[in-house]
Amino acid sequence: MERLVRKAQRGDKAAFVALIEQNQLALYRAAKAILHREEDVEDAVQETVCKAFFKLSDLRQPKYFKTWLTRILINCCYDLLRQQKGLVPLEILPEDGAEEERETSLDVQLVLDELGENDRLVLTLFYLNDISVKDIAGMLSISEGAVKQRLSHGRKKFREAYEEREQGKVVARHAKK
Amino acid sequence: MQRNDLKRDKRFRKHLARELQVEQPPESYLKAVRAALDDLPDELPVKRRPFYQSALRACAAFAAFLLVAAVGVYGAYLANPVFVESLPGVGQIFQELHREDQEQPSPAPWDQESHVNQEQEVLEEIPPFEPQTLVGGGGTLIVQDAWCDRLYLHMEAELYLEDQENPPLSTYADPYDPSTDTLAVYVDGQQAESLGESALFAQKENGLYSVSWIFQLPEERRHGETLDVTLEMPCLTNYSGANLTTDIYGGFPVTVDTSRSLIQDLETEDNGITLKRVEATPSCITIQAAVPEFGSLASTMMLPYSQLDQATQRLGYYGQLTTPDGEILPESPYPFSNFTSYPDVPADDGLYHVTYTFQALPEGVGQAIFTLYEYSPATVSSNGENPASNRVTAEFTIDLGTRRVYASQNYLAAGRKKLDYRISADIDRTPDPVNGYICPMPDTSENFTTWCLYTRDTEYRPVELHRYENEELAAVYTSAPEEEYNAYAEGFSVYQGNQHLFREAHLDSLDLGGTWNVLLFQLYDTENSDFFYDSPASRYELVDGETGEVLIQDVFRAFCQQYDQVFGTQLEGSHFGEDSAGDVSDVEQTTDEVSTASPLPR
Repeated sequence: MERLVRKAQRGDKAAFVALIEQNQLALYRAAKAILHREEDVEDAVQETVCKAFFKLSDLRQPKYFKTWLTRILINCCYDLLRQQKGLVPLEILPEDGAEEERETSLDVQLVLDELGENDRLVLTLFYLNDISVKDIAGMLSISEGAVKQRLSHGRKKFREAYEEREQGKVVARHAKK
Repeated sequence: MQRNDLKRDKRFRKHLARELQVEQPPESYLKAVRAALDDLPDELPVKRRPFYQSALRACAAFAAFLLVAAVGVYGAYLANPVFVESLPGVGQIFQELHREDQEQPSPAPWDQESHVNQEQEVLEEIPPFEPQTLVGGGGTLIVQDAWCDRLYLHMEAELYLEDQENPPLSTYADPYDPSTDTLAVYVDGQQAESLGESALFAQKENGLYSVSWIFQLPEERRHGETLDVTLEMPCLTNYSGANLTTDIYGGFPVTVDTSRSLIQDLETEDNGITLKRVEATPSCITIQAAVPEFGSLASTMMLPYSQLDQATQRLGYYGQLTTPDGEILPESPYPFSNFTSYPDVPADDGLYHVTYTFQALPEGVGQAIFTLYEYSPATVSSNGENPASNRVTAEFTIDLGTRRVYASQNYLAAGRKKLDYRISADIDRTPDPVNGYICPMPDTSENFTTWCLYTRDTEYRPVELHRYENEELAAVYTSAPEEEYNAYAEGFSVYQGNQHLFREAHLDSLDLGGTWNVLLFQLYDTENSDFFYDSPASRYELVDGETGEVLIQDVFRAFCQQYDQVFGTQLEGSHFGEDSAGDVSDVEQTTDEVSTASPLPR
């Protein structure tokens, strides 16, 4: 990847395209953790690609391209949220009927929603996008301890909900028999 | 937290991606990215080096040349003074020098103590900061504390707002939109760079908002100097992005206090490694070092083939800073530095120049020990475990009390050895092969497992990789000679089987210690399997394709053993539950054993 970054910094658009293609899944995942709506995700990633294109020559250390790109993306996502005035972050706004559902369902998706976007983002960046705890801490302006705490909390909640649901399925299968 | 929480196991990742519904992006997203790329110009903007920088570089190169030439001629003068004195031009200079040598006693060697004494002059005590109140149109800022350690200006402040706002409030400013600027601080009229992209205000119980800011001074300042600080905070940003008018403008003095700082240019050497500069302040500790060649990480042959190309990292320059009690100080503390950059290639002087930044020493601790290691402790274990087999390449003590930086040997008490830089680059670091094969780290960078095998035998030998699940043969992946290759992937001819892809390649590199044959098995059928390469129920066996002889009974276990041998870890024990101590390859000589051992603590 570093070689591609250096080529792109010398003006090679094909190298830049290759870099974006290599990272488009990671960008999608990170943006989805913040924005949810597919069209917003697309807008934020398009904006990120554009900013990265014009700012890549400023990147001093090619090996941090992915971290740098993700940082731009996060800024773009928050910009988009800000533009959509009145939009309240997920952890503040309770979802319609969420309380009722919580009592009756063991939906893992619901648990993930409950985690709040910051925890989802940290889980996504660490487990899916392979970004280190240190880099996530720098990216989100929080301490490494806070990142680890969120990872621990998120993973625990996820595992509990997942296991409960899987157990529920087994019980349901036995009940059918 | 449990150690497993930071383990990126594939099963968890798979479940997480599925539940977050981000396994694959939709087609519309891919089209949107493509459209964005298509809309961009044909060439990226390129940063041109300003002329003055090129000129400076040229001057520096010329100065370096002059220095080298001068040293060369001086060397010749020492060897044959009569000849050099007879040279036209420079000869006269040396005749003069010779005369002075005879007239005066030779100068004393560099007197470190006198230098230290100069630094140790008694610093005047700086009175505590008087809190300052800056009243604005939309609120009042009370700067409770402000201090400057010579390089950085720190401020602790509280904000009272006319109208209560829901947190978080921040000085977030869009770096691409100057109209969103929320905070600017000037020191003696020059803008100081704010560290950290945004500073969040935390709401306190009494309704005030508190904040901490750090700014890098435009230039280094001296102890006792008074800084004229001007603060401009026209607005803040709330979470929804709205600008909140504060209209706070004001100024106040801050006196520089360097009593807890040590900033020195140095030439302190240990085992070929030279510390060039140390900046130890209550904000952070930055160390610049020049490191000679210790060899390459790729030479361990423990990296998968796909990473060999990128893995040009060198050995010997991985720094760690600890307190005398062994507390490891975190590297690259935010917001003072991003990352330590380890260069892949040496600079023009043949040395690797590395700048390390660490978190500052805790209050009350007066010494820091800077140790450089053969391998990165993070390479050995992401959990920070650093076994004693990870050899030291140099050690220095930074003593804030005596204001000295010197080579030290605390590593001996920890049972570590020091690797001599004169022999390190020539050491054979490859582990013992099993029936001729070295098994590097399995490659899981794609969604499937790729097994690599390295062998010195460059002739084709038919082999098979057998995958066992719960000791039942689940799949057989065969090798194939090049003439039977039937597919083309990623620019290479390959053999495509039903469940796997096979390729053989030759490697020839000095870094890798000569010629190797690499065998690659990409196992596509493991993509959606619940059996991972390190799952206790799985076992991969390497078998001779013609005779059926088992060459390696458990490839993953062989990898663990070889990794343990190279890095001194306990991978085999941790995966296979046995008390199998890593068989660490001994280096024939360390600096502690050769005749010119590194100096005792000075």
